[in-house]
Amino acid sequence: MNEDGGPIFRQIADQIENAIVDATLAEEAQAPSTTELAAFHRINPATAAKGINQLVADGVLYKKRGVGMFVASGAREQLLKRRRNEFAQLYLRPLLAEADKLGIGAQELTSMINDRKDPR
Amino acid sequence: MNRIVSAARLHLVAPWLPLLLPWAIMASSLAINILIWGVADIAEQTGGRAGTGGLASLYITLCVVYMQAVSSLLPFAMGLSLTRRTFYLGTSLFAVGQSFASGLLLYAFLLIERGTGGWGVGLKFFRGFWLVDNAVLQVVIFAVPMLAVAFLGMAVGAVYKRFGSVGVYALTIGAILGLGGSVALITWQNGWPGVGAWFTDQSILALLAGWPLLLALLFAAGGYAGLRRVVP
Amino acid sequence: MNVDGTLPSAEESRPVATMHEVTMRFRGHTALDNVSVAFQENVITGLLGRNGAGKTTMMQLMAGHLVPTSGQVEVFGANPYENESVLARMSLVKENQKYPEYFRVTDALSAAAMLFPNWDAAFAQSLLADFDLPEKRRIKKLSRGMLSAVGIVIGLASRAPITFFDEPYLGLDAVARQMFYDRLLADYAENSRTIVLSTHLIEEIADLLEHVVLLDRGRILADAGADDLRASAISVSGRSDQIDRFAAGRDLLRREGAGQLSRAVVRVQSRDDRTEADALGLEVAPVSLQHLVVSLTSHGEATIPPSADSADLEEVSR
Repeated sequence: MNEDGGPIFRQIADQIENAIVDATLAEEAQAPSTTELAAFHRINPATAAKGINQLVADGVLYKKRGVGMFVASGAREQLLKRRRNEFAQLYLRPLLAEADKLGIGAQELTSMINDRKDPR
Repeated sequence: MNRIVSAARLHLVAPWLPLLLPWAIMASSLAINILIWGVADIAEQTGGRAGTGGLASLYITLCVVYMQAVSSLLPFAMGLSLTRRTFYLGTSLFAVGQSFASGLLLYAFLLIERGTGGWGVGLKFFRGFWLVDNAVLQVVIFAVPMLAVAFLGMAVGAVYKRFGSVGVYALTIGAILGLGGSVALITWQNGWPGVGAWFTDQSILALLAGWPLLLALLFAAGGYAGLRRVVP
Repeated sequence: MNVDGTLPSAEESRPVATMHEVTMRFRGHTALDNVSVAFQENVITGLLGRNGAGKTTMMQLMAGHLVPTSGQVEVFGANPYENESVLARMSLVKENQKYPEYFRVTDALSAAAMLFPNWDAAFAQSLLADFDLPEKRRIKKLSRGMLSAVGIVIGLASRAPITFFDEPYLGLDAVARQMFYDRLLADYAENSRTIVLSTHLIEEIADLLEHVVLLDRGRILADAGADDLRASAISVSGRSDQIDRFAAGRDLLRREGAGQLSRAVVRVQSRDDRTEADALGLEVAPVSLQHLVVSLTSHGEATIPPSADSADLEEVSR
């Protein structure tokens, strides 16, 4: 795990969320178990469990007693929604700050975006 | 009790040093004595009265073995989560067992020596002033001094662990001064005849089993006290 | 950990080894100064700190090898000194464990098997194979790394409910160290065990730790969850004057600068702190555990290594 990436449990939670968002991990599918995660990432099982528990608390995962953790239905939608809200803070602000530094105006920015989005 | 027995068994894990070496040394002493007796025909020369202190080698070596046991086995045992007390009791148990087993073995050697006429050369290695008629008492006479030197060794080992080499030197100097002082005192008081009389008054049993037992208990108590605060 | 992978709640985890206002004074040197700490049951706790911080002394006190000058030490609710029932459930793996001169590796294991009630012989055998330890060789003849491996094998296979590892990997190469961490984690995941691990190699074991106790010059500098500790500070870099503004009113742990530009490690409370740093035009980055520990214990000496993969606090091989 990335030691400079902030709390490990958060990294674990983020990884699972990413998998749900890009549909690698489907809704109602079983999430990796704490033991699997701990062994794979070589981290303390309690830390892995903390990441999982965070997702359960957020409603992204739910627990089936005696079986394990499963992705909640609607989790993807929920995550997408949250990430859309964070998009402005995480990506737009730094982009605009950098554009500002480089003297790229709103007009130029818009045409740059359109260029990228155009199919080639 | 279980753990005390385990602590005793600890001494048997690698028996080369504690069990075999002392006997090997004694055996070589015996061999040398047999050679000398045979070559120089000493039995003939001295009318069969000459003895040898070769047996002492066994006791001295054993003393060192127990010193080693405390200084090297104790830190290891504590590394395996044994309390000092259990280690000490276990080692004491081992010492008792080892002493009496040795006593039996020495008695067996004694019988063989008698039976072979002093190993064929009239050597008196296992026979000496410590001879008694009763077999059981004979074993006791062999065993108890061994117990005493065992506890002495353990006590010195404890001093070494607790106070380092300095402590052992101090102890040795103290003992020499004490002994030397006593000798000086006795000489000054012309007490040697009295001392001699006292020794001859003692029965063999008292001399070789009674007093050594007392010494053993003294050393045991001292060793235990010294061990209590040893840091491995 | 419960069977379905959930953690016992914080209230369920209880202290299994504690120190209460313990001071340990040696001739002319105070190793521990009024230290109070509690190690939780079935948690892997890292005991971090520089050389001479008091980590070894702490472990020796827990194992009853030393008696505190003042204060109380309790393990499983009782004073461990000369306490057979407590010690039988404990294992201390020291970096300089002495073995009897004539012992072979297999002798050391036999002895351990006799004395640890939960000894797992099969586990010991598989660990021997993992570390490539020659069973019949005299311990005296082992390399430094193999000697450490013997201690590790005994500590792991003892299955003692509480196991202390005091820098147990002296001389072990990186591959063997990774093996140790893997086996430790695997055993911990399968069988609950309280583990306290002291180390200089913070980065290597940081991910293993659930809880961290940081000692510095005989005092506790930090006693918190590993993730909590990681989240308690950030690294900010940028213009020195902005750094100053950000650091004002906050706990500045470490600062290095070259004139106009500086870098600092600052304690933070929440997201808002990060936002503020951002707003000041500073580059914000999380701190690794090692980074944080170095910042807390440097006493103004070494500068922070520029990246996380630089050397540990102390050289491994001596």
